[in-house]
Amino acid sequence: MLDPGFLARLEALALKSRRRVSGGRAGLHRSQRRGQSMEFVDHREYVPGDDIRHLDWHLAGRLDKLFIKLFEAREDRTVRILLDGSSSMSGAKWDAAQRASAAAAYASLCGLDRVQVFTCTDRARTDGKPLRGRAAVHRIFRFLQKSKASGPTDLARVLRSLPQARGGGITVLITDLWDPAGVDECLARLGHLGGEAHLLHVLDPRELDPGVLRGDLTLVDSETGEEVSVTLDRPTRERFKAAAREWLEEAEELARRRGVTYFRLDASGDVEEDLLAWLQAAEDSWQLKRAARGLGR
Amino acid sequence: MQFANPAALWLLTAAIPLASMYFLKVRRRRVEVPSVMLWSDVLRNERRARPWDRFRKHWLFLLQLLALLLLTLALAAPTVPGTKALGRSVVWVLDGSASMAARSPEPTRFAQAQHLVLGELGRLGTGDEGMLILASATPRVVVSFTRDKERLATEVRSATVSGAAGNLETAVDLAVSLTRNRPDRTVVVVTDGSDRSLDRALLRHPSVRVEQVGRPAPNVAITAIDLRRSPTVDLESELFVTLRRFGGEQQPVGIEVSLDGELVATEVVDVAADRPTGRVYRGLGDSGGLVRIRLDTGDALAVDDEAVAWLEPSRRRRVLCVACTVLTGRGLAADPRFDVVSAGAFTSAEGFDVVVFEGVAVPEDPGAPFLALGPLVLGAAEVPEEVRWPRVTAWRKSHPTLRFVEPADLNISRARPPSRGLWEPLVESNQGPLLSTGLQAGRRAVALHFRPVDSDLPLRVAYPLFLLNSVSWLTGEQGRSQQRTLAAGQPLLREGWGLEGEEVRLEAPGGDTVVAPIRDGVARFGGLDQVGVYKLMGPNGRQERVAVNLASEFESDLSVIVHEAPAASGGAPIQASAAGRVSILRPILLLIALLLVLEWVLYQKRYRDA
Repeated sequence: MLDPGFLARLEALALKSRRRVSGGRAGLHRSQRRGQSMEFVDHREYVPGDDIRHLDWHLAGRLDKLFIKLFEAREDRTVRILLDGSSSMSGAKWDAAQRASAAAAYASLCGLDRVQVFTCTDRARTDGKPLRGRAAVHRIFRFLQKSKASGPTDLARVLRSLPQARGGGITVLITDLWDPAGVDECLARLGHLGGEAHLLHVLDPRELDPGVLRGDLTLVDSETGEEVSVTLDRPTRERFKAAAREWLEEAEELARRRGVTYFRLDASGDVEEDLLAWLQAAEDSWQLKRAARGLGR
Repeated sequence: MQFANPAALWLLTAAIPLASMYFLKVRRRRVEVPSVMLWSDVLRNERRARPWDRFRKHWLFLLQLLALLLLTLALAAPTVPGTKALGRSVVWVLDGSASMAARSPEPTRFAQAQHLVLGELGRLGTGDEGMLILASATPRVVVSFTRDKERLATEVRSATVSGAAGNLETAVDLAVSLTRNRPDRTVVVVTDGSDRSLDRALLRHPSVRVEQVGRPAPNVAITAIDLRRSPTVDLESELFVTLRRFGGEQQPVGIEVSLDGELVATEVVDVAADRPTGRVYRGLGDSGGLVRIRLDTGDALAVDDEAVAWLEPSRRRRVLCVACTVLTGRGLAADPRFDVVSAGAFTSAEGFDVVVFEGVAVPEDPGAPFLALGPLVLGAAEVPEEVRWPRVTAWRKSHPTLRFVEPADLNISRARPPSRGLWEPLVESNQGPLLSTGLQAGRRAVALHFRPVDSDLPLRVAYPLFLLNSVSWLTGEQGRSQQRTLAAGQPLLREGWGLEGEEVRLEAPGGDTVVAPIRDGVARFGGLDQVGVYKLMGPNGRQERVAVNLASEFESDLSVIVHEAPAASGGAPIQASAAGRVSILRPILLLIALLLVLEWVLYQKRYRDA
């Protein structure tokens, strides 16, 4: 599904979370709790029962009071990958979406996260509980390979049906956003899932620019079978292209408002590079945020 | 708006099949797309924002409907009241007389005239119209007014010169009368000036423009040819020819005379300049035939270097004289051409060329041309009422039967003139016709409506002359040769060639055949404008050959005569437009063309743009 070179590059780019996680198990991610890591966070006054190994003797010498040094805890997290499996995703988009899911899963597994992959049509399907460890990647890949893009979609309903992410975690939705409930509803539901949400918007440029189509056409919706008669001339094409641009901008803006990280994936382009860029951007964003917090402290 | 062809409006019903075809033909291609969400939004917004756009997809159909409507209008030939701009109307009168065939300059004067007309044709404007009249013995409108320059040019190129003398006066009169209603008219006569009648036409129509063609050239011509009875030998004829040289110096000319292809005479004659030279040729025998005379001149005009004449075979005509008096019998016997047989009563006309009835009833069909002397009673018809002392009031001097006969002071004691209207009267009296001629059973007949003995006619010299004239005319002897030798351009009339409605065919020297029906006993052919021998063919296998010659001094005179119109008097200003109904066909056709272009552009924009 993914070539070894790409997998090697993915290993260096684990999907970072801007939020502190509370996964329960020790991991590589900063936890909301204080823990045993090397990362100093704060001081607090000593109370009996505290581990005296964490006393800050320098501070006690200066202030003549006992303070305990607090360190950041490192925990794992759950990454949920939601792959839109409706008919509208078929073709190049489906291939790109499968690879994006696989890449996100592999990167997360490399970051010692638990990964759960769902395919979403009018309901969510998964291969079981969240998996952990690199060895699980084969199972996830097999699940992805077995999945087909068919049937109608109802992302809003699917997102409503998913449980809230406990202790943070990341939800990655990979979809073309052609949902009858509308983009806003989907993004709202995605935002309400808790944790950090990523939207990988998979697009085939040909569906936003009907340049190859012309004349009197009946357009058939691949999911609903709904038909629209249209005479495709230049003005109509231009209007459609403008509407598509507007729709994309609106989706991006809505995602920003809902706190969803938006990333557009061109199905006809270099998918692997796009995915690396997405993961890099996610990491940069985390680094930036961390640096900003450090400065503020 | 009015329609010249309203029936074409039925074409509007074609809109029904057009609409059916249009809506049935729209087979939309089905294309599966991931989602139609955006498409629905776009189309919904489009309809809301521009409600007229719903018709936009049918623009092609609407344009086709409009084009059909306009096409129907165009076929219905609509006109609207308005002022019609008129172009120039030009009539070219092309001289097609024999002299135009002269090779001065080369190739011919006619070719030069054609070239000149073609040049003027090329300068015609778009709205101008032209007409071509070919003027030979009788003018002929070759092309009536048309704006089709190609057609005019084709007709000018295919026009041919005739062998007859021209009649430009009539042609110009015709051209002027045909352009009378044209405000901006021009009549152009293209001629070498051989026809002097043009001067009279120019006096009447000073606005006519004359374009001169040709170059002066000397010419030797046969200007007259005739056959006459030999004054010395019974039943023989002699050929009389007049030669003339126009321009240049006196020169010897070789002459050949042949009868039915056999050389009869040959000689070299010095033809004096500007003076007729007469030649007589004898020894033509009595068997008749086609006499041909040919000059060896090599001059610019060939058509007048040869002439033909038809020589009738000479034989004695047999005349049956029924109940004739001695005076009548002797009068007829005086001419050696007639062999007179007397009979007391009529039995049969077989073997006789003419029957003379004197004072007896004439059978319905005597079987031969007849001369009735005395009251004309045909068969069992009633005898006309008798009148006393009729006085001659009028007579036809030109009729062959009255040649050298003066009936003015004729004294007639009693006569029985018939009722009018049956035959043509030749001598009229105050109480009815005294002499008539007509056709009886398809043959000529002459009737004297009084008995000769009841008048002083037998005592006059005119009586034997009248008898001989009448018998000669009835047998066709008199003028027969003249009838069969014509000048080019003369009409040809033949009577007694068959029954009413039957056809007589005339084959021209070039091989063309003209058919004329017999009307009132006469077959009439228009001007014979080719020089040579024509062949006449009757319904019962009867045939006759007719010789046609130019024999015109004016046509043979190849000196170019310049005709100039007198200064034109100031007429009414030319009106370049006229009120009337104006055709709007052209704008409609233009609109149709625009519509088609627009439809093509729309089609390209809709279906071809990438």
